[in-house]
Amino acid sequence: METPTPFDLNEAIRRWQHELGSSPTFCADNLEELASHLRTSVQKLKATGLSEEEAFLIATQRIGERETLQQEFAKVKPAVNTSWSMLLFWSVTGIFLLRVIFSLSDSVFWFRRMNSWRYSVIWFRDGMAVFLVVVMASLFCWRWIMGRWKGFGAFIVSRVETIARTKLISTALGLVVFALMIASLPVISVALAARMNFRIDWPHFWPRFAAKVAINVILVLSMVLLARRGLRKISPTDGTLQNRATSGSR
Amino acid sequence: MLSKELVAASTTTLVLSILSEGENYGYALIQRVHELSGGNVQWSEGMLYPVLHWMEKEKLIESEWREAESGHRRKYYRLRPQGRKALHTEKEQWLAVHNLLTKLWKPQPRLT
Repeated sequence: METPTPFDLNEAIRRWQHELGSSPTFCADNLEELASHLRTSVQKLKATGLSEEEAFLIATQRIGERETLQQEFAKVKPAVNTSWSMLLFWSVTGIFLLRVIFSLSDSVFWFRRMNSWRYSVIWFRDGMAVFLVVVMASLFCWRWIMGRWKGFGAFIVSRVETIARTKLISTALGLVVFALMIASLPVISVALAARMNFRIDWPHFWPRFAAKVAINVILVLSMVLLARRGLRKISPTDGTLQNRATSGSR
Repeated sequence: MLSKELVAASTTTLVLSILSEGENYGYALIQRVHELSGGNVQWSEGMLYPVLHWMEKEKLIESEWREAESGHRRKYYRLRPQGRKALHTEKEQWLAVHNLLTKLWKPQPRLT
């Protein structure tokens, strides 16, 4: 059976890559390496007398099915992904714990100032609620974006991954996220103070604010460092590679 | 044909051994194993790459993109000192198993 349009290998490989690339498991580097494999494979198969199209079909079959490839590549990826998500997880947990501690200390502060637990309770409850809402909303948004626009989500992830490959940029990105998370704490405090019609005494507020941020930074940083150490200990060298190897053996 | 489990267990050792002959790229590694084993060891091709990436992450090997004769880019892998060390240990272990089995399978004198 002859197709009316001649077979274009480059186009076929591009389409194959595109299909594979819709999964965030594969980064640009993976796709290029697999394409390079396909090219060599097609070349060798053609030398045995096959047409380019037949060679391409066999080569794609030999390289493996999309799902299997994805599974196998995903097993190696986590080291990167988990470390990112683990860092994020620990940062969020750290900030959450800090929020609890500071809310408690603030409650005590309000009790001493107003001589009533009423304000303390409001402060603590609202502080936690606002924080939880913020965290849940961001998580939900992220999941929604990823689920809703599969291509879009994959696009973002692969972009972030390519960018993150440069150490400088990944550090900068990390610092921005970090700064945003830290900044959210005092913002919540100010918002709560406003809600309770408490006039902020700015000259007195600043040192307190700075101290809070400094303590936050130190604690969260140490939390992240601890998480990194932990990650390094968990990650491979436990012989799991053997299970990772070929032919989708599980 | 080798069982899936054995294929999986021997992949790193095979990759380390082939790369100890000199740098190479994925497709050639697969070809080499296929030829040397007389077709008894069959890697499903795409699955080799995650293993290579894992080995690279473990600093056993390193990779470099380079232009191939065809003009397209190709990723070459080569051993790192740590990989050489790992190969040494692997060799000892595989030889230990090999020796043990050879001893056990030596033709035994039969009494009957």
